Parts: sequence; C-alpha cells; structure tokens
Amino acid sequence: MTEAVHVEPVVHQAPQGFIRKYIFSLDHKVIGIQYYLLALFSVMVGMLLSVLMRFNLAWPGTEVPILETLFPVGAPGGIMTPEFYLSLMTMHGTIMVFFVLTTAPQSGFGNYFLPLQIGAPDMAFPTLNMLSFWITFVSLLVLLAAFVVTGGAPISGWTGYPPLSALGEIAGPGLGTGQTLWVASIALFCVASLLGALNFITTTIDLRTKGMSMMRLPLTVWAWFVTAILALLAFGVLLAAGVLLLLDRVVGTSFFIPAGLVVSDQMINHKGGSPLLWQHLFWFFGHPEVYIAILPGMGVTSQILSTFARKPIFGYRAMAYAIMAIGLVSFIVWGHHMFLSGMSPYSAMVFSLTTTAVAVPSAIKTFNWLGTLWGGRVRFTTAMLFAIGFVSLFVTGGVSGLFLNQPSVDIYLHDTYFVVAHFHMIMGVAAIFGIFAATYYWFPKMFARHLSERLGKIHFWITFVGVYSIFMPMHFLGVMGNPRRYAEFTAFEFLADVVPIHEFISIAAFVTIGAQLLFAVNFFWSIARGKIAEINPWSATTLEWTVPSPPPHDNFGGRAPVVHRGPYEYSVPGASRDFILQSEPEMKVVHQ
Amino acid sequence: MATIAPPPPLEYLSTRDPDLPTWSDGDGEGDSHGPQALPERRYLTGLLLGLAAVVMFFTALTSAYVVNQGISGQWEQVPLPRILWASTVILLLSSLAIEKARRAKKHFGRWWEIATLLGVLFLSAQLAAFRRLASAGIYMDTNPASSFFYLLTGAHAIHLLGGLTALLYIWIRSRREMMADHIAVKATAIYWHFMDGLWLWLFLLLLLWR
Repeated sequence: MTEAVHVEPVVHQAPQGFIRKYIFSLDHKVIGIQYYLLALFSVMVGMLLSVLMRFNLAWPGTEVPILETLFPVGAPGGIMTPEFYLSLMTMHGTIMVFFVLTTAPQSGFGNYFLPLQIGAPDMAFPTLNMLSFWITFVSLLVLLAAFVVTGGAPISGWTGYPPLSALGEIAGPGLGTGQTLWVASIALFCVASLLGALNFITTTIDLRTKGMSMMRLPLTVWAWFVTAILALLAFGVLLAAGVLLLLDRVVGTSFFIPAGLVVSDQMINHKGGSPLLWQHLFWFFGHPEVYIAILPGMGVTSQILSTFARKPIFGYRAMAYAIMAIGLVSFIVWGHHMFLSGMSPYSAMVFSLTTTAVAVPSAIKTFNWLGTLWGGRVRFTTAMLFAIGFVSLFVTGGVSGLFLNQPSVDIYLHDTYFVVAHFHMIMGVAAIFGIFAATYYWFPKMFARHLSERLGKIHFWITFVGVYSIFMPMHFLGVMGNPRRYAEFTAFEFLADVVPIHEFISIAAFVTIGAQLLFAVNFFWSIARGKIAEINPWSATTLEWTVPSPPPHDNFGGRAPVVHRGPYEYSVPGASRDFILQSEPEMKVVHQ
Repeated sequence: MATIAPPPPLEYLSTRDPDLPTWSDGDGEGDSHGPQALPERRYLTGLLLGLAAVVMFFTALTSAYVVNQGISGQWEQVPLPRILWASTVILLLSSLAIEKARRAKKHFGRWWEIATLLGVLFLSAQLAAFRRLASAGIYMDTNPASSFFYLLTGAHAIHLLGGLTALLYIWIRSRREMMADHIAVKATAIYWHFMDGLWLWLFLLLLLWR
C-alpha cells in the first residue's frame, strides 16, 4: 500500500524541552492538537450545560441538591431560577459557537493539515500561530471566569443583544461583571481569530509547493482558505462591535443605548444610541460565522467521500467555486436574522432573496457529494459514516432554512423551537459530524494508531439516531408555537401537550451525550493502545499520506514534495492500483 | 497490450533548488526548520491581509458613525479642534520623510529619524486635541457625537502606535546595520502610509459628514 513512498525523514532541530515542544510550541501540528484539546474540553463543558438545561425543560421544579451546592445563588433549594437557566443558555451558545465550532474544524484540523496538504514545512508565521492559540486559551479562561464572579454568568444570550447586555447589573443577574467578562472574552477571541485567519491565508497563498496550483488543492484546503477569508473580514467587525459595547459598559458612552430607558423603575442616564446598530454589526459577523463553522466540515466531507467511495470527487471545480460562492453570499444575508427587528419589508425581501440564493451553491455541493457516492465502491469506515451523516444533517438543516428565509413565515417561527432545531442541525450537529469524520479519518496520521472502528460505529449510530431524535421533534414544537429561551412551559395552557415531547427530547439528549463517553474512551485509549497505523492506511492521495505518522517536526524532512496531479485520482482506468498520490510522477505506459 | 508500469518513486526537491521559488530565501522565523526556510514575501502578504482586517474594523466604525448620526436624536456636533489640521500636515510630512529615507540610502538613518519624530509629534498633537475638547467640557460620554470623535481618533492613534513602534525598532537597528532595503522597512512604510490614508479618511469624515 505504501511501497511508493520513499521518504527518509530527517528531523531538523526540533525543540527538545517540554515547554518549547508541547506548551509554547511553534509547530503547527502541536498547535493544531492544542486547539483540538481546547475544543474537546469546551464541548464537554457545553454539553454539561445542555444537560442541566434539558433537565429543567423536561422536569421543571425538581430538586437537584448538587445544583444548590454548585450554584447557591442560581439554584436555591436545588431548583434553578429562570435567570440561571438563561445564563446556562448564554454560556452554552457562546462556548459551543466560538470555542468548539470555530475552533476545532478550522484552527484544530486546519492548523494540523493545511501545511501538510500543500507541502509546506509549517504555517507562514509560526510565532503568530502560537500567539493565536494562547490568546484563544486566555479568552476561554476569561469567559469561564464569568461563572464564578458575583452575579454569575450573563443572561443576554450568545448574541449579547443590548440594551440588556449594555446596561450593567441593574438589568439583571450576570449583567454586571459576568457580562463584562463575556465581552472581553469575545474581543480577545476576535483578535486570536484575526491572527489565525491571516496566517491561514498567507500560508495558502505563499507556501504551496511546486506543482500545487490552486486547482490541485484538496477541497479541505479550499474550505480552510475560504473560511479564513470569511474570518478575516468578519471578526474585525465583531471586534468593533465588542469595543463599542465595552465602552458603553465601562466608559459610559451610549452607542447602543437609546434615551429615555427606564429599568427597574430607574431612569437610565444614557442617550442617543441604537440597539439596532449592534444587531447589524453582530449579524454582519454572525452570518459568515455560521459558514466559518460549517465550511471546513464540507471540505472534510468531500475529502472523505472521495477517499472511501474510491472515486474522484464529482465536479471538483464546481465544488471549489461553490465554496467561494457560499463565502461571498454569506456577507449579504445578515438581515435574515433581523426580520422581527422592524425592518422595512422591502429590505426584508432583498435579504430573503439573497438568502434563498445560498441554496444554489449548497445544492451543487449536495448533488456532487451524492454523485461522488453514486456507483462508488463504498467502504463504510466510521469516518465515511460520519461524512455521510454530515450530508444528511446538512440537507435536513438546510431545508428548514428555506422555511425561515421567508419573512412572513419567519415572523411566526422566529422565536420558537423551529429555529433552535434549524441552527442546531445545520450549524451545530452537522459541523460536529464534520469534526468527528475528520477525527476518525486523520487520527492514524496524528497518532500513528487507529481509533477502534467497532466503538466508532456504535458511537456513530447512537449519535446519528440521537441527534435526529433530539432535533426533529423541535420542528414540531416550533410549529406548535413553543417559544425558545424559556426555562419552563408549565405556566402555559396551550403548551400542556408539549411537555411529553420535551421529556422525550431530554432523554434522547442524555443518551446521545452518554454515547460521547464512548468517543472519549476510544480517543484516549487509542492514543496509547490503538491498532498501529500504516503511513497511508486509507490508500488516500493527498500529501499528508506520504509522510510518516506522526509527521516529523518539519513535515517533509527538509525537502519539498513536487505535485504532479489533482487531489482525487482514485480508480484511474489503467492504473496499477486504485489511487495515485498527488506527488506521483506521470506514469509510463509500457507496450508489450 | 498496454499495461502501466508500477508507480515510480516520489520526487522531492531540495529546498535550495532553484526550481522551488517558494523557499528561495529565509530568515528568522523559519530557523527552527533547519534548511527549509519560509519565503520572505509572506511578510507583505500577511501585512496586506492585516490591513484588510483593519479596513473592516474601521468600515464598521464608519457605518456606525453614519447610522447613529442619522437616527440618534441627541447628536450635538463637536467643534473640531483646529490643531487637527496641523496634525494632518505632520503625518503627511512623516510619510514623505519615510519615502525620502528609502530613496536616500546613504542618509537612511537621518530621514527615518525625522519620520519617527514626526510620528511622535502627530500623536502629541492628537493628545493636545483631546485636551482641548476636555477643557471645553466635552468628554467621551458627553453625547453620541463626542463618543464617536474620541472613538475614531483614539482607534486610529492606537493603530498608529503600532506603526510607531516599528519605526522606532528600525531606527534603532539602522544605527548598526544597513536597513534601507530590508523587508521590515518596506512593510513599515506600507503600514505607515496606510495609517496616513486612514487618518485622511477619518478626518474628512469628521469634517464633512455632519
């Protein structure tokens, strides 16, 4: 399988000290793993918060003594207050969106594999790379600190809408120090993401090896590249919004606070600002952010479907252009998050049209994935299952988007569970499936051992059935008018029927989350004890499969591979085996 | 019958190979990678991308300025301190001095020194403008217009401070070595001219969009 790989790795001056090698490392591979572990930790915290929320939604008013021990203010007597529920929701959203969905697929896998896949020895700016990670790390600490300050974590949602988020303690618990920490954390995250994005783009432009033209890039690289461009242009705007919000809170300016506001019978001493301004700035970032989370998953899915269908990706150029198109359109759709903000119906129509246009490149991608599978000799590895699962979730989540992009329908559905179902399917779970697919696919390269396929498949099936059990019913809840962001629904007669559905969803959530322990066990056990992996266990074609596992410090042993062909040459007619590495020279036809 | 020969061995280039323009030269950061160095042009690519992010940041602030002015209802124009005209001229001159330095290679150090001092002078003039407003009782939280005045000029000053640090760094290095053709000089010059243009944009915005 690997007979053509004549690589003699020469490791050059890899730092030897523990701190330089593993903590303040300049090596993109170590930094990639650091990001991945940070995301793994964050996703555990985020899931824990959702367990607490789901428990309260299904069985409100139940005493949980340990809650009182942990959060004496948020859950007096072991019963959580509605405000505490909101703080859990805020932190769940913020942690998941920023520190999981933005961090693992792009900063984690992108860092590790982008240089390898383009034949580069490292990222363009290794020091900046290290700095990005450590700023992200500090940003996470600052956010988590909100749990332990007076007043607790903020309650204004991951979107941090003012005036709630701008007024300070007077507006509610968690809106004092907790909210300030939240804004500071987001601002730090913006800086880290900007540095990271700059690094990714420069690396892709300047460090491609000989023969690696743009149209020979693996689709994973295309996805990371376009994602980085989105991040570069979007996070600057969020940073500006964050600075304004911080000034409103700390200096006393009124960028987002209108005049004449009365809170808790108290006149607020601010004048002349506009809460809508925040919504525009936030969603100008927020919509591209959705694609920042999902595009890397699309790249990974393309890579994996092609590898395990043993076929070239269907329509490579169309796939690359579709990624660019999605990136471009993502900047002109932000108004669809604001149909309820009182915007003119004409503006709403424009945003509705541009949003509908996203369906075109999305459909191109979906059909090309199906076209790749069609007639392939499909190998159902765990990575492949998760990639197919990604396609499934992407379609399901995308279709509900076609409902929501109609302003008249959105007015009814916007504040209901329909939206919760939509964005969890398409942005949350689909992206998570992309992360899992990438993990099962690249683990042998990163750790020289395989994850257990048996555990992996059990993990996949429970997770796949689980997430559908959790989020499909939420669509119906939304249509029934079940509002989102509420801590419980017992007070509403018209919602009496939804309680059993919420109980079902909660049980499904607990089972699904429990199944993630299988993954955690598999992950850490396999690092030490997994089956030894060959250099190219999947018979794949891209450059990372030509170097030893794990790759040496400078990736290609002080040399540069030369690329001769595109990234997905599987089952080429007449070839001696069913894959041709990107760096394999032209083959000679021998006449007998 | 035609068959295909087994795959030939993979081809690699030494990083010193002239066929590989990507890694033709190296410095500093690539050192931990032994002979395989990273190309110098990445600095300019990175700088231009960084400037793109700065453009987005100030575009967001500009649109906030325009929108808030339109809908605020409590907008009271800030009288622009006249010293801003002086600081504008000072900044333009410092950009000129940088270009002079890059061309007059022999007297690089002297012209660069002048550019750096003009940069310091610009920041002092901006501070003086702040003091002028403060002495008239106009602070950042006085009204939306004053908030934006301090915000826009302050954000520019912070970005400029970064450029000034680079100017100082090169000035110190230029006393020991020949710097005129160094990539850092080119990068700093681009950044500084960009700060120049950004200031003109903000100044005109404050001056005309009222």
